[in-house]
Amino acid sequence: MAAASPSVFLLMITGQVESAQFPEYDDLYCKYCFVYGQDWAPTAGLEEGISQIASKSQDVRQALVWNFPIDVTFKSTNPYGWPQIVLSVYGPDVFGNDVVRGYGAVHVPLSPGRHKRTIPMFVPESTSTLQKFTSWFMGRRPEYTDPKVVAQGEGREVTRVRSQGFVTLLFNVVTKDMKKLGYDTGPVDTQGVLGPSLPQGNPQ
Amino acid sequence: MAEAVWSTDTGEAVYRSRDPVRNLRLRVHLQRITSSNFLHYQPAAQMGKDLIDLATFRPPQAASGHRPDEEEEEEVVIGWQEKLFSQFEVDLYQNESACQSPLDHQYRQEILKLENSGGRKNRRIFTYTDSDRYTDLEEYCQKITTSASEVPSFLAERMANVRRRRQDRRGVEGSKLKSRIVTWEPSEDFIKNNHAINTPLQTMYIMADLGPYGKLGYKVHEHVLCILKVDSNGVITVKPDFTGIKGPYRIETEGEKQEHTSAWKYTIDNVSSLAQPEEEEREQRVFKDLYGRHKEYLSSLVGTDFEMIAPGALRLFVNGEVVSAQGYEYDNLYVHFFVELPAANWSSPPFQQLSGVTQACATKSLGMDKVAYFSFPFTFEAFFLHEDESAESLPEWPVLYCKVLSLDFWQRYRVEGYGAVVLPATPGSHTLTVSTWRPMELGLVAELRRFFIGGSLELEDPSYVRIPGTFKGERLSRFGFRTETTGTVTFRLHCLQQSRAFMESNSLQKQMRSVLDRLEGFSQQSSTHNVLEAFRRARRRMQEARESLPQDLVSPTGTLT
Amino acid sequence: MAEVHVIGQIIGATGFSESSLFCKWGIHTGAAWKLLSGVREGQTQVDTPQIGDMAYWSHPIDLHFATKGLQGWPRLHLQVWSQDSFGRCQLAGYGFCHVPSSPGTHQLDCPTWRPLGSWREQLARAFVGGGPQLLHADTIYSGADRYRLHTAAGGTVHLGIGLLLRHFDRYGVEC
Repeated sequence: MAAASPSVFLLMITGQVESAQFPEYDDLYCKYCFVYGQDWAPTAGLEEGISQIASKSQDVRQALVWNFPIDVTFKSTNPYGWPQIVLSVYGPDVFGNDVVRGYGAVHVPLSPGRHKRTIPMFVPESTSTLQKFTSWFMGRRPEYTDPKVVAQGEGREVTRVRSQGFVTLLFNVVTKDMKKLGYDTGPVDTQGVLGPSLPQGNPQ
Repeated sequence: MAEAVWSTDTGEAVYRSRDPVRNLRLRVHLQRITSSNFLHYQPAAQMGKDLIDLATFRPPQAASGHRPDEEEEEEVVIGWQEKLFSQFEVDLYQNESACQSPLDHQYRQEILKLENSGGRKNRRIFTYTDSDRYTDLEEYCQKITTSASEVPSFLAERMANVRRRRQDRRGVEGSKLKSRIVTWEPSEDFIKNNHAINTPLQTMYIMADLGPYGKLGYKVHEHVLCILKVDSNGVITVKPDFTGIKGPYRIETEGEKQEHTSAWKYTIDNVSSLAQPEEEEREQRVFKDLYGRHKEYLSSLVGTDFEMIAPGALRLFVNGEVVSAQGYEYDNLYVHFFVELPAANWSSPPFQQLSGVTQACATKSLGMDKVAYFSFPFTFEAFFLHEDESAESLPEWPVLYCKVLSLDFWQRYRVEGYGAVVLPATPGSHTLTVSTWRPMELGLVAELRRFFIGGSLELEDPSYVRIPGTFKGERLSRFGFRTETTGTVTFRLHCLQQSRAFMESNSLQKQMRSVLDRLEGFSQQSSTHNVLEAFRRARRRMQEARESLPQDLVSPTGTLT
Repeated sequence: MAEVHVIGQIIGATGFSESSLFCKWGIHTGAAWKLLSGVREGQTQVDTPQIGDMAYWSHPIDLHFATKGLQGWPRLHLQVWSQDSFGRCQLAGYGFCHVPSSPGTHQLDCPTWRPLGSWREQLARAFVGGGPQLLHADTIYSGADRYRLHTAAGGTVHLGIGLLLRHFDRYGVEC
């Protein structure tokens, strides 16, 4: 390809799945993967990973830290289908069954720089009380057939969910050739970590 | 170089390739370190070059007929999932009774065939492929911590099991369940598959038998040189990384006796045959072509035309919303607002409304204050025609006036407050909070009337809020006019500006100069002197105004946030 | 033509008295705008939060527009509904916000409101539920008929929207 007019741009993402807040649960592990559109392809690094099993700290913070690295590079011709990271968190229930504790997804930040994202985690839930009880008793909580569904907008109208925790992610985003292709991604964050303003509902 | 530089970084590296993995070739070079090696150190690459030639011309010989010092060095080129037998395996499979599985028997056949044709090529270096038992065991017997009683977690076991599975099985399961979003009662199998990463993965171990000379074939002396993993997405993981330009890796073995202790160095290089230059070029061309066509296709969808404005004009385009009003005395608020364009040089399209009335909204409590939410949309555009640059004053900017009213039970209204704010002169998103005030009558009677009957003092001319439209004099005085500060109204504005002057200027200028400066370049008449003069005049006028007015009326009522 | 990418999420909502909320959303644009890819409208999941009072939807939005002009810049309109245990739905609030015009990441808080109706209807809503709804969805994002309404303030919907603009500078537009 000629250097003068590139036809693809690159999106380089490094960062980590930093920590989680699940007030009710412990001994959790986390699986991540990226979901992206037709025009996108990973060119370096890993687009999926699975963390260790982490337990909460014994002090007041009750921190559950994974510190699990993310490092992937994508190339694309079109920003449509911008990558999203999909997380699913699992852990044992009272009876030692391995059940799901939350699904969540967020777009990789558009503007280059360092970003912190705290994303809500939720699980699908049945409307019937009986089903709820049996699923608790049998240790079989409802799960998404494919976790990647949380990165889609369509087809989720029917589902009822319960949000029950948060995962904090750290992204360092670098883009290459987007300016040359005429895209304006806005100002670069130079102040370091700019978190989204946390809604009042979040435990701080 | 007098001394070897060791590579101590044995972390894994990740590569991606779209080419079939069977083209992968590795060259592994292993050498025992003696004192003489330290003195005559040669770069690994050069040594390797000589050795390749040697290896190709040297007739394969049995492992037994070698002098010790030749045994201390070995180089092998290994393909993906290529099985090289160790001395241990050769000894084991010679024995018919040791063979149990079909794989064992197959290995036996191969070993016998090798023996007949003159023995193995390799001596110390050997491999375990994906189908070997070793790779299965190794997956979760690998220790990670120093804990003496480390037990692999259920997750490690599950990962080891799941990743063994082949693609075909996964495909069937996937399609069967795709129709439902939620699986209400996941089965054991489903959980095993979904809670781990189930991308099919193949593993291969490159090993070395580092036993003392003449004592090959013991499990104890087996060491891992390199672990290779390839998954179905084309991700190749190498641990440790290819040596490349780094120094060789180093292994030290410990024996019970002094002579059993030995040190080894080894290098791993990627010697996969590269594509032919012509092929490479063709591939490049195909890609370039493909991307080019895709780009054209996308831009054909987009099209080319875009509305333009007259040269020399500035178009101000505002998408705004009346967000909320808070801190007012009575409930059921609504807002009446309008935009006033300065008389000189500004115009707006005739069809456009520059004013609006929101719905009446009952408030809700938010902390100390009661808030009414409107989220009332408005949008307007205005044109600024920069005709005469040598004019006396700098151009004025449009002003947003608002008036907050409240409805009572009998649908009568009271004025709750007036406010005004100058629209922001920079493009982008702005949240404006306008503090308001209302005219006040003294005395209890007037307040009671306001409460019971509704209605109160109003301004006849809303532009009295800033500078009355009818004002002609030098000094503005509001003396004798009593007001009371009331609540605030919040506007959110998204401003865009369009001008042909912006098309030429580059990004550096954008930061340096204000909107008005950049417009001025158009008629080519402006000089720095004119601009400075204009600023000086403006400042003088400001000072005069400030001296002649009470302090609280000068500061603009709007605050930018 | 210039291009606009709207990429982000409807994160969730706070300040609603009802639990089990979901949101219907749509994007309205003017005649000069063309949607090249993406979905113009949708409906989120129903969330019953376990921690705090914020309902989380994490509903992704990814739209690619091409435009000939600035008029009719995209507007996002929202309807928040609550669902009871029998699956019946009740309106909790309408809201709208302009899609910002400056590139980069924006945290938007979109306040909502609902029509009040007569005092009889208000009383009925408190006990039985129900209450008046808008006849036409366009009243949410246009200001023309708003003055006829009497509304009550609802909760706030939170959005995280990223804007990516292309070739606006080519036509002398500053955002």
